[in-house]
Amino acid sequence: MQENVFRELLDKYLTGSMTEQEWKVFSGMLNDPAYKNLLEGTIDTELREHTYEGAPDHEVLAAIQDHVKDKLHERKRSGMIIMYLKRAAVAAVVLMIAGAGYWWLANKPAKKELASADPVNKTTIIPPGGNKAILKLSNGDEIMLDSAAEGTLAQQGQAKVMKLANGQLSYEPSGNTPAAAVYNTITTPRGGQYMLTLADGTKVWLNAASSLQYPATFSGKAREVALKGEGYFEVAKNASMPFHVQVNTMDVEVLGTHFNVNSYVNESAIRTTLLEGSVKVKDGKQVRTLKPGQQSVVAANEEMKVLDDTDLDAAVAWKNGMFQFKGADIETVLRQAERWYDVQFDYKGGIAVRFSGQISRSANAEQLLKILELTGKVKFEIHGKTIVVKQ
Amino acid sequence: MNSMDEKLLLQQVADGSEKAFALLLEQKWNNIYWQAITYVKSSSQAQDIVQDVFLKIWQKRKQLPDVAQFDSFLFIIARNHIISTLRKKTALPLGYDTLEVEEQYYLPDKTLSRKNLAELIARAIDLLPQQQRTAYLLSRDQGLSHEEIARSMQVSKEAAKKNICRALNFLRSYINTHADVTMLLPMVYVILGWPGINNF
Repeated sequence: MQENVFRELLDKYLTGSMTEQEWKVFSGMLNDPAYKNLLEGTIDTELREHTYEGAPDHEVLAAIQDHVKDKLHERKRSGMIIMYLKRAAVAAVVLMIAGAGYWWLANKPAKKELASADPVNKTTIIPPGGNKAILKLSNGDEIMLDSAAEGTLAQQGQAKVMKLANGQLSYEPSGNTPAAAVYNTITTPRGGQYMLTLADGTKVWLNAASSLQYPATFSGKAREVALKGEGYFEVAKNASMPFHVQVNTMDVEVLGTHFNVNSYVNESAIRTTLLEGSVKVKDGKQVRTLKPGQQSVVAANEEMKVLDDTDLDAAVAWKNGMFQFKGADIETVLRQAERWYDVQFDYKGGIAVRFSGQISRSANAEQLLKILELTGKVKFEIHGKTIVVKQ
Repeated sequence: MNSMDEKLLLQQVADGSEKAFALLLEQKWNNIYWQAITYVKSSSQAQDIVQDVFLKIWQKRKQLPDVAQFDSFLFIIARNHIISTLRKKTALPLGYDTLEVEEQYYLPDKTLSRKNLAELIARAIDLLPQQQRTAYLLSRDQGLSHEEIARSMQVSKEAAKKNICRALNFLRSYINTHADVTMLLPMVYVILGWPGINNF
């Protein structure tokens, strides 16, 4: 136990000077019982000494008072509802006995009536996507990764394919005999995403409805993979063996860097966003080198564009478990929702509204739609997997 | 308020007086709110904590006359709520400059542009008390450590830390209330109430 380390990290956290690296250590310590007393004691003392108390904000107080008052009365109401339900339950039991008696006398199984007695308006919840993918091995065998057990899944060329305890897929080199390249393909369905570590240590996050083809082990002069859909790459540095991501006719050449490629066929363009390092984006004869913070936009029959000041958070929000929009039109929002919730929107067009904000991808579809509805510009009707969009 | 008055007030709360309860809240909320905001770095989450803490007090109101030290009783509940909110954080909260604005779900056209936000922050910094402003600027603009700030301001390290925290709290709260109010939609709590994110 390192109390001093904890104290120092807490100070940094409170004064807003903590790095992401330190946060990882600190958030671990927050959940470690060894530091529980220290944390409790610190907060107790600060409360006793009014250490951080500032001027009261009357608007905030009014909001709190309103909310608390509502809650107090809600409790009273729910008490009454419980009373009512108790009475209703008694009545229901009486009815059930009467009903059973009727059945007994009528001597009919009445299965159909029972089925139709199910609540008609039972609301189905459309859950968010999760870590789901199918791995296709070189011999054509397919493995469902979400249901596969942890441990070694297969030997592919000179790599062991492992499913780790956290559900991720990892390629670990084993054996040195050079062999012909052995290719694997990982495919995520709509409503799925997956993370894997390639044999060279490169990490790839694959978004929903996407696939990546890659060799089990890398050999030769270059590391080449092919992407469909959207992926975020943290490429392991290896200057002598550049990393190439092929997307249709486009090629991203990398030395070691972090970037996101969005190439869904129903999006208007292939967008490559660079977070760290440097990449060269090639499409036919056009070649552009990106600097961190830039995004290249490759659209059919158009010259490649490079945008500065890209919203990096928004570009990789999906990888961090968020939907994030900044002035996004409704089509963009719906396309993302379709891929993640595996639903179909029936949208006739003509709704001019732009959305900004962020929402967790662990929310279910209804929660997302409700938020969108609160703008007052759009309404949704859910019919199973089809959602009708209305003005 | 002297301890006799407080005893009387607590007795009234125990008897179910909502008026007395509102008075109690008014006297005690501010310290808890600022303590919470310092730890959870979000004004809306700090408000939730204050609400939950007082609802808990209301639930336990029958015990209040037997409580020897009401403040200690209150602080334990508050501290537990703060820690549990803190533990649920899956990511390092962003700095004041993006935190409150991004937490809100806002409509386009009414969003605060980065430039406006920078101006708003500059105005808020001007409003800080001298000691807080100095500590804050030494920390942010000059990147000094707490020790260095303490030395250059000739105060204790604790005092330097306190000043930075208070400055941050003020900025956070100022931006929260002065960012164009029309951009805020009422579903802030809906979003914050969602389960944490941890997909990979």
